[in-house]
Amino acid sequence: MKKGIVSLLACGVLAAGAVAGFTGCQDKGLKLTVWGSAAQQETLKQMVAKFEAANPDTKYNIKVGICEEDMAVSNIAPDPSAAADVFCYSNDQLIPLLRVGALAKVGGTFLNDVKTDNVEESVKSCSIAYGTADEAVYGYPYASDNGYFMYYDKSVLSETDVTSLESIISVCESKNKKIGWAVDVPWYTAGWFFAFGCDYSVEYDYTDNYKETNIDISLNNEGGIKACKAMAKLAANKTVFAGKGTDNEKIITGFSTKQMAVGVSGTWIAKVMKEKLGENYGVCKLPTVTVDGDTRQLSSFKGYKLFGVNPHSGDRIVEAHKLAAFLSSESMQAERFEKHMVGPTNTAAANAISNDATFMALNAQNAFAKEQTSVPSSFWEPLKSVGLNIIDDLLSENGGGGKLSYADKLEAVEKQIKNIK
Amino acid sequence: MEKKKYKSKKLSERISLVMVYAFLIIISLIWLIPFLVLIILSFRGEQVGISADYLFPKHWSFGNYIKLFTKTKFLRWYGNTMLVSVVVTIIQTVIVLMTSYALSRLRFKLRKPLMNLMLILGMFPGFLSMTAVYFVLKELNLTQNLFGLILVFTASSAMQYYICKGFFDTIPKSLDEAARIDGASRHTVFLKIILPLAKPIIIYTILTAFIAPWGEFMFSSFMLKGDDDKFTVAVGMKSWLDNSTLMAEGYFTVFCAAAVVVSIPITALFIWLQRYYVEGITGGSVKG
Repeated sequence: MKKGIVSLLACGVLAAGAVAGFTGCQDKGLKLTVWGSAAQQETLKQMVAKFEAANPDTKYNIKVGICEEDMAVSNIAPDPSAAADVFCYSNDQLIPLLRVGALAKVGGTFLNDVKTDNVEESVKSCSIAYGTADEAVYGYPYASDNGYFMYYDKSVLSETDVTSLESIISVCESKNKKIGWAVDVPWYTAGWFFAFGCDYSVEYDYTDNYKETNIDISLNNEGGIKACKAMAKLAANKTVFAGKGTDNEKIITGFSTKQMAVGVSGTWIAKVMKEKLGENYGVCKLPTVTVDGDTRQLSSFKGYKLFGVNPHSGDRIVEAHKLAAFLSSESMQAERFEKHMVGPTNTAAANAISNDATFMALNAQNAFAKEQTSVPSSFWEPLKSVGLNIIDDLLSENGGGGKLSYADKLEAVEKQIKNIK
Repeated sequence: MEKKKYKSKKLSERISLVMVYAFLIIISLIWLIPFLVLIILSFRGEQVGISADYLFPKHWSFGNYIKLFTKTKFLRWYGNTMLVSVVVTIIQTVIVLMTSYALSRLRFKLRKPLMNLMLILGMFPGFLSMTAVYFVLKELNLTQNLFGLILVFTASSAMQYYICKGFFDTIPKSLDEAARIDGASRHTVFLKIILPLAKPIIIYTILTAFIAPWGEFMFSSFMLKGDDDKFTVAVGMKSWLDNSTLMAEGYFTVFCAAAVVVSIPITALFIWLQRYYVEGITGGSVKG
């Protein structure tokens, strides 16, 4: 009987091991893994198949997995050697990825192609000049659309209505529609401050594992206070402001139920928005806002998405570079645009879509946007608290009555951003 | 006089009953609402997410379930999770029962220190050792691997002996002794005497052993990165939530449908085993 139990146990373990091991052992050929966004898995698989077909001399065995661009660091940092050979990341994650040694330099003909084929800024977004003339490039740009702009319902607002925040608010008020704007998400909050001249800067000590040095930020000034007032103008207006926690899902739902007429987001929801709005699909740059007689165009962040190559790929690293180069080539970027509305960085592919309304809006906004490269890691959380406090009505111009003044709040935020290193 | 007293007592009894029931109804509503919302949302035909200000679908449909099984890898993830959970359940149940028997019936040196050690070790939350365990598994080439997951989930099984041992302690030792006098080995005593009397605790062990890996997220997500062929349901469903495009495309209602499907085996297991559970308890109490 004792044997029975032991063998039952052994069988269970072996069976599990066999099932798990089986899938691992049957593969042959040159093994590569590539991680891409969950929404583009099928497309990525088709692209990989095309890559294999384009290189018939080598027998590949390429596995496609899931990793979102904005989660590259959290997925890769714990163990870069276990990460995919080729993975996608957004350019704001460049430094954290370099810190854990998860990005290989692009070189040789690959580098030449990257530089000649793509928009210069997109290459810059993944480059680091280590105090020398030569820049090190750490990725293959494939998407130019890591920024935001405004969606609106053409049946509610006209093209002139959407040029200023004041007219948007008054139209929405009269027609009882909501505005979806994530004032409490720091990525969106920052744009209000940039518009009024606030800025930040950070340097990195390349000899000391990319440690942040000389963090500078200017928020607590006239511009910063005006930015707060501008946000309060929108957020305090409970009849039109859609409230806290506005995300993509909330915007889509708001537009489909006809309760929302304006939403600020990026191209990742463009396809669905087009379906929902049909001929009323409107896109444009962010509006202007007037505070104390000072009219400013609202600003935003802009960034790029890239394919990175894992330096732990060992002797397969050249093949990994080849795959990354292929996945970011002109035809693949064009395909990605067609299927998922992902904006290309490739100059030729970008020119081909220059008449697309969505990208015209994005590009129009990008002219006023700040590049999202080298952002202090301490930047986000304190800034988020400003947006949240404004929505919760905890701040006022002069303080008092249980409220903090804008100046005091901004001073505290500045300190937090500068001190935490 | 007698009658009046009786009457007023009944009134107060009635009031307290009403209060108790009202309280219980409110509590159960609070508890049930999330589940109801989940089930109702899973039948929502229109592509509108959670933030819509209405609950009941405008079009009832099975669309989300169809999408779940045809357009996503859910079935594969379901199979993975089932495999892990079933294997873990078998191994863990066997280990827990054997450990409990040994600790309840045998007297050996270091028995008490061993029990204390397991008690203390059990106090540390498992995820504290997550990174360390990960790198050990990596050396063994067992990351990105369901077998590795099974290994981790069963590794500390023996530490969950308390409740089971407590139950074994209530079974009279004289039964063991009688059997031993008749020539039964320790092993026979365990299989023929103790186990038949311990049905409720076996059921309990099976249930807890199954539920833990079935819904586990933290360690699985740490281990199974990227490769969606090896995802468990929790990791796979989280990957939908992480993607803003999928969420925008109405995957939230698909998520709800998936959650309903995930809850089916646990519910079925409970309903099926509950019978034995109750039976076992009453049976045990008479004998005890």
